[in-house]
Amino acid sequence: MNSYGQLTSRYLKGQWKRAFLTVIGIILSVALITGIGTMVVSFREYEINKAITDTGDYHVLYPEVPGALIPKIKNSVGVSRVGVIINEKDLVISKVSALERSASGEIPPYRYLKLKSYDRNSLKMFSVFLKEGRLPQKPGELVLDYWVLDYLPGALKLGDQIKLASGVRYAGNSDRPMEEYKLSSEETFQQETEKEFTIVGLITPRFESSHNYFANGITFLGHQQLTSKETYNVYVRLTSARGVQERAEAIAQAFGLNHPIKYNNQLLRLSAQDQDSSLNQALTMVAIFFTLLVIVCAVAVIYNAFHISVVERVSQFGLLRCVGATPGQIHRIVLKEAGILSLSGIPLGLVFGVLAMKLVIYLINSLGANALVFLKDLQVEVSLPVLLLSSLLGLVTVYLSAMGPAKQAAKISPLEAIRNTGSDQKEAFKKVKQARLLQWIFGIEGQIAGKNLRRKKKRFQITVFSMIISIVLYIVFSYFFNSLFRIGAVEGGVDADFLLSIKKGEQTSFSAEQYVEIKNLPGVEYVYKNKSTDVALRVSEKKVNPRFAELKGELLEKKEAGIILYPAGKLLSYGEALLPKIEETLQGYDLAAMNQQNGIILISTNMLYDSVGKKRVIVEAFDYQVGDEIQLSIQRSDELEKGNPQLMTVKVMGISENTFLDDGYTEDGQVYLFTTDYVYQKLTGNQDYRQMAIRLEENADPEAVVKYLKNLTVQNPSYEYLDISNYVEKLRNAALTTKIFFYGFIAVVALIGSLNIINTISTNLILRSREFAMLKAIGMTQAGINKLVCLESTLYGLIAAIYGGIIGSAFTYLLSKIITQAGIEYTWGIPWSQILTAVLGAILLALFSGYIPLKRINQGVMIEKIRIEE
Amino acid sequence: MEVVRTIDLCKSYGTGAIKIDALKEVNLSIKQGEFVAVVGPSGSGKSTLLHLLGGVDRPSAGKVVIDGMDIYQLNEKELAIFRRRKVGFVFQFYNLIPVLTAEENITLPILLDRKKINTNYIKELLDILGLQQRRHHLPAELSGGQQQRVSIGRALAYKPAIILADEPTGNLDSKNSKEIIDLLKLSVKKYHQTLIIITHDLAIASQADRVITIEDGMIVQDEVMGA
Repeated sequence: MNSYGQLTSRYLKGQWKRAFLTVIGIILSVALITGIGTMVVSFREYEINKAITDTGDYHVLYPEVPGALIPKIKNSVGVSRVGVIINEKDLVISKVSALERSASGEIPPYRYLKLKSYDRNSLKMFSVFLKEGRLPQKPGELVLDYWVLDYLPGALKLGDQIKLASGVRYAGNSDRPMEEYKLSSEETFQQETEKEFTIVGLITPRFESSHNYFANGITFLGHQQLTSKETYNVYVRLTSARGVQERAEAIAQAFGLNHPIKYNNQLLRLSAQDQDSSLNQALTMVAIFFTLLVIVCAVAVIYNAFHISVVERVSQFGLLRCVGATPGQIHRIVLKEAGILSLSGIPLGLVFGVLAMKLVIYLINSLGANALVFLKDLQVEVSLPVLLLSSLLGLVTVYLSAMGPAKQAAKISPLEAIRNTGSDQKEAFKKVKQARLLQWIFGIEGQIAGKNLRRKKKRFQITVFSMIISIVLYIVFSYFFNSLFRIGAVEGGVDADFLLSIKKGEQTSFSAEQYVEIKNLPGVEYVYKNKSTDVALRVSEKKVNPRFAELKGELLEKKEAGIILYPAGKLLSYGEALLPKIEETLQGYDLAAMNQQNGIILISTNMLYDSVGKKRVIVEAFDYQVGDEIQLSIQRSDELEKGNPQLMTVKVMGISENTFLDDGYTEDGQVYLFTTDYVYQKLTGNQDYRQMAIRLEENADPEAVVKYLKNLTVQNPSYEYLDISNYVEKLRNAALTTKIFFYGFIAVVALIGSLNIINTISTNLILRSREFAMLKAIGMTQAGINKLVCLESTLYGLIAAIYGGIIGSAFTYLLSKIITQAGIEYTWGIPWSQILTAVLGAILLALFSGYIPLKRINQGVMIEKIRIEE
Repeated sequence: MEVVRTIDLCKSYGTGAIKIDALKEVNLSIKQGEFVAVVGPSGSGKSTLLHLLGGVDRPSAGKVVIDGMDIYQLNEKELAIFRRRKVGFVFQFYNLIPVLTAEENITLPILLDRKKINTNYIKELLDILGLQQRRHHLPAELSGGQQQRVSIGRALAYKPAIILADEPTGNLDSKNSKEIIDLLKLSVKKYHQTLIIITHDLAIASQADRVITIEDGMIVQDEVMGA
């Protein structure tokens, strides 16, 4: 050693265990920041890709741009890519059959091809899902929805040529063109030309219906075809999304484009360039909220680690002061220590943060059997800015955290060293109150545990504070993601792949044979019978949620002596397919009880729109509890008007927030009462249903079902089916991916929070092993020590839980206000389930953390522990 | 030549009803090269006096003048440098830095001053202290007597003018005690230092040039030995 500066490395080497604990603190904080940053970046990347797939890779749409301007727009500053699309005139695919038109409803005379011409860039900017073949590469080539081939004459295949009539649809015999996609039995078609195409590819559409009258077709648009007379839709991708509005308007102004500009808000939102500024603000606030929370926690964790390390060495610093070290020198020793520790901690933190994310994805991946299929588009994005930012934050944090303790160390009076023996740190022992209650319950160990907690304020504060941070982090994060699910940020989609309904006609219900037939088709997992009857509910005025009354007052007008006759109730039964879900939702009842006592599951949570506050509101209509009874009537409103409604009584046996089939809230003030087929029959005397929802098994081949449904609808046009499997699958995958991200997030936060608790508690105990050895020396038994440590850990857990619960709840309240600001209002409630999980977790972890130090204390020779200086 | 002087030196702890006067207007003068033993019952204020002389505590009133300098007029940094260069402390509980070897503990005051170590002198010191074989050991690997010798080595490293020893033999057996006192006496003679030692051991006190007895924060007896 040839300089006092080397003292630092001596300390680190000599007391590597303590240094190790500090490094763990740094690693945890940096890992937390890195992990979350990585998560956010990966998720954003995923969302951007999804938005591009869904809506197209453009920022701005200029409608009706004269052809001559297109090259000029292309050469404008800040424009990276320009795609041109023409909405061509409708083409006729074929006549709709007389049989089909005989069914009631608005049925047009023809099936149409909605043709669009894409230029080369547009084909790159918009996703076209090809089932077969390739995209058009020159004019005259065509791709179209694959099912169109069924309606075209002859068995066409790829490479074949077709001629189609092109023209305009008019309403009736007038010269008023029909609105796009609107159906009318009266419409007429005026042919203008005939066009010839070569079919080069088939598209998988998003939705499919047996009675779809419009199909999509895409042909190629060569730039030589552009004329200065015509106008085109021009899709522009700018070099960056920043300031998109001003830049887009500047371009419009420069070229005199007068038509209103349209923005791709779904994509722009992800760059925080959405046109809706209040949403942007709210999103920014949420981001700032979480960033601050995470940084505060990171600073706290590192600060604690340093603080403990310095406090425990007070006497040694005092000694240095005694032999003539100046405060500045001590300051430098501590800061240098911080420097060395952060050099080792930060890189490890970065690695752990990224690895934690990968691990989470991998774990969830290995849990779900089919997970791999959809996880292919979910990737952990290792981003350099995130790593740099985390390192910088880590470094700043370490230095900020080290400053305080370093100052404190420098201020230490040399006397403190002399007064102590050099092995025991100075403690400002204060007389603490007798922990009578603890002593009474747990004996002398209880009393010592209680005193231990209170005797050293600083250490107690640090330990509890650390635990509070972990608890708060967990509560806030899990509450936030829970809220995102609640406000519908994640669409689960319908729990079905096909919908089959009786459109019109004499048939009032599917038959039992039909049900069995469909149920037994290969690949079918279950079939919902959608039975529903409108009912009026008799609701006491006191049960109505005031916020709901504000928004839907018109539904609450009919009342008599404080009892409202509520018209928007619906009694539903989905048949046996829903029984497992119903059983899950029952709170303390079973299906037998449900059948016996007219049990129902109540869904009264509505998603409404507050036109005054301009926001969506998620609100419960009625405040019913499980066990309450509700009176209802199935009479129609005009019968009810006459008075004396025939009332039946049902009993609330479960409450659900979401409707089962489509996993959403009810709307327009609707209140759903779900029940079994048996009760439904008992109450309504009716078993009719006109819609079935068919759910396929995971990865089943839909071929058999499609064939069956096609046959059925061709033979009897009063049936209609809708193939939503593609769409639903996409939604399901997106929802699952989002959930994985969210739960992954929570898992990482929980993991890091847990490590923090373990670190804090075990540090606390390890640093006192000498003291425990003393207790043993004077005759405390092993069991007594165990009891003492367990009690202490539990007390720490409990105290931290109380504070953490309160602070965490306060934060979630704040968060709910921010989300309301973003345009979705929902009822905030104390997040009990999150608090409970966090609290139980914290106590268990605290107990677990005591285990290793305890083992160390219990092993080995007592007297050595007493002698050992650290 | 006078090296230490205290003028109406007072130190009290606490306030009001629980105020304790540890030192009450102590006036003292010590000449260079003197070997002074301070004796007295526990709690009489011996250690407080020693701490005030060494610049590690702050007096409530009065002055401490060392080498003609009022040390409590100095700021924190200057006081630290004063301790480093002028004073060597020896404690009852050795107070060594546990992560440093014997030799490193000894050279610490010099390193704090960013001075080059005079290796010859340190070698001489280690020889005198009998630590040549143990120089690379950590404090935890040394016996009590050896640890105390290291702390003496540390006190002597800078050849300070004054050595302040607070019951240096309080933790040692009689054989080790004798060795330590002999070492201190040898050093004082060799480097012409002033030694102020607190002790309960009458045998040690009897070797001193001068014995000061303190009771209740006041000097009650001050006798020059061998007179």
